[in-house]
Amino acid sequence: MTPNRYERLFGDVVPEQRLVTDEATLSRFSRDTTEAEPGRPDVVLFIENAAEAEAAVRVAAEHRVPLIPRIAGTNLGGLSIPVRGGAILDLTGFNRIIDINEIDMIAVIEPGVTFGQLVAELKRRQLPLTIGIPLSPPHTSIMANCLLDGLGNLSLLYGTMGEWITGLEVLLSTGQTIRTGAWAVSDVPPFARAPLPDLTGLFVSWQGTTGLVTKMAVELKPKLAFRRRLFVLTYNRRTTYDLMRRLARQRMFDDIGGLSWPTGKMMYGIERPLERDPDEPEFFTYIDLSANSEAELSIKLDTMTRIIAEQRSNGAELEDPLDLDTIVKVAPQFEKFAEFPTDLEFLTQHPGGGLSWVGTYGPMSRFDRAADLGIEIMARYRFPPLIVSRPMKGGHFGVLRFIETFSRDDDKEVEAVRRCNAELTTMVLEQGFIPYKTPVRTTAQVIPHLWPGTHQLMRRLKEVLDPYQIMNPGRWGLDTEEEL
Amino acid sequence: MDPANRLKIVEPERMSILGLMLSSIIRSNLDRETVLKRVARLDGKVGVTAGKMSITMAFDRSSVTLTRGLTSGLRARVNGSLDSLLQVSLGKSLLNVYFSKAVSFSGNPLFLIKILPLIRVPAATEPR
Repeated sequence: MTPNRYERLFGDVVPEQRLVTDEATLSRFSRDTTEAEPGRPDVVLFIENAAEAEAAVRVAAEHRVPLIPRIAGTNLGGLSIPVRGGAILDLTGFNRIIDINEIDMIAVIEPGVTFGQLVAELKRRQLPLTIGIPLSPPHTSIMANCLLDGLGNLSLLYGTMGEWITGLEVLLSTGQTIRTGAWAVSDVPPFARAPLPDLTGLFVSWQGTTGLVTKMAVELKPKLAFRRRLFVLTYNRRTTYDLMRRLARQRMFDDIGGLSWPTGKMMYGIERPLERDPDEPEFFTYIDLSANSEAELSIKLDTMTRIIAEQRSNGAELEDPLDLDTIVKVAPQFEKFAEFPTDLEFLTQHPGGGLSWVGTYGPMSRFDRAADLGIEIMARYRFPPLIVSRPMKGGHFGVLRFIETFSRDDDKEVEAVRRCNAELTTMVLEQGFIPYKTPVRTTAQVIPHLWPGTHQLMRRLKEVLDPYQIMNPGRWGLDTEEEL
Repeated sequence: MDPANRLKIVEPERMSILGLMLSSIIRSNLDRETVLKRVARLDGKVGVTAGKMSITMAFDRSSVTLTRGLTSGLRARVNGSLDSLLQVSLGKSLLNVYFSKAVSFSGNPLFLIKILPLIRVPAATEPR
């Protein structure tokens, strides 16, 4: 059989078995769980090391072939779906943990390293260290979550995962390799972003449009010996957000997350719960604590109990904290929340398997109003008001997500998700929230809100960093041929 | 009786998390021969309230029906925090939680004692 154009171009980049152009694979890589428009790649290259990545970028630059990096493809934003065809670089096998520095608490990893892999490695080496772990399956990539500025279960203390990056090694479409952070000084370990001019931000939240990151240094944090996870059932969202705001500023808790009532029902197999028993709690709020000793843990628990009692004395309706271990004994379904990373199958294993969201970061002072409006919108489109809210960085801001499950095989439902998400995006922007891991459709809604000079500078930076316009094109309105 | 019909939930999509948790425990207990024999002798309704959530469990000698809220004609009622009720489900003595005032009862206490095995989480080693 005659090789096609892409097989000829990339034939020397990877061994034959890792260059794939068959229809079934291309079709599989042309979509994800979301409502995003499918986009067919011309070829999928399974990259396993930096030399192959470099060769792929060189060929792509020479022949102007778009490159789309992909690992698990679970970003919920269609971010690894090609907008203009080209080559998907599947980086799953590019997955060495290059170094774990126990003293400086830094790991250096390749793109394909997963949360499950790093957690297992830390356990194997018996290191009392951990990383912020998102509410996502174990096979998801640490680097992708950091570069897309996602969050993890220590983001209340330490902020978005982009902030955990201490240095990057990046391949530009010009063929140049650069390093950011202290790492830019040769032979210095990647201990921090400071104190050189911080170039790391040129690659965080840019969705792979400025360069291909081949190595990342990321902070690890001490894993304390004494840990508890508790659930507080709160009867309305005002109480939930008051509780979050008050607990967040104590600087005592690892993570606080409010999951709205449909979560519980979905875990019991009710696929689309639209109505709530008016007397049941609106949110399950989990609170993670860790400490160096029983005594320290006890102080934290006492603080939490005191705050809950104060809230109750002010008329708030909420239950006493339930220990997750107790809940799991009665309801084993909740074991999903016992350890992260975790696979919340109830979100994806349903007929049609669709999962989408509008995920935003925004000021906690505005959570109540944004949640009220978001719930109204979701109800209008007949989606359960599935919301996840978590304070971040000591309560300066938080994440507010509106999540839909749907059937990807039902065109009407896909269209309903698109319209619902568009409306949610309009609302959150008006309320001062900013979507993250932004899909193409959502980005188009965000750009008009950007300060004009900001977007102009983004476009100029894109031209400098990716003059051949091959890095994940079609995103952020950055390509020179794109209309503003 | 068909095992699938031994437990009915009225409007399951609107059932509270209390009802869903209890239904899950009851369902696993109904697989056990000893509990089935006990259900065959039960007739009447029990109301359970945890925090603001309430459900009614109705027994008709062959099946159990869970309904949201409290209905009329209850033979007994249990009231407590969700945590206290979960502790009872995990084996804590009824008397213990009653005297510690974590849970209150009203109505026919004997009927309550009879339904207790149905809402206890079965130990992994218990015979089916």
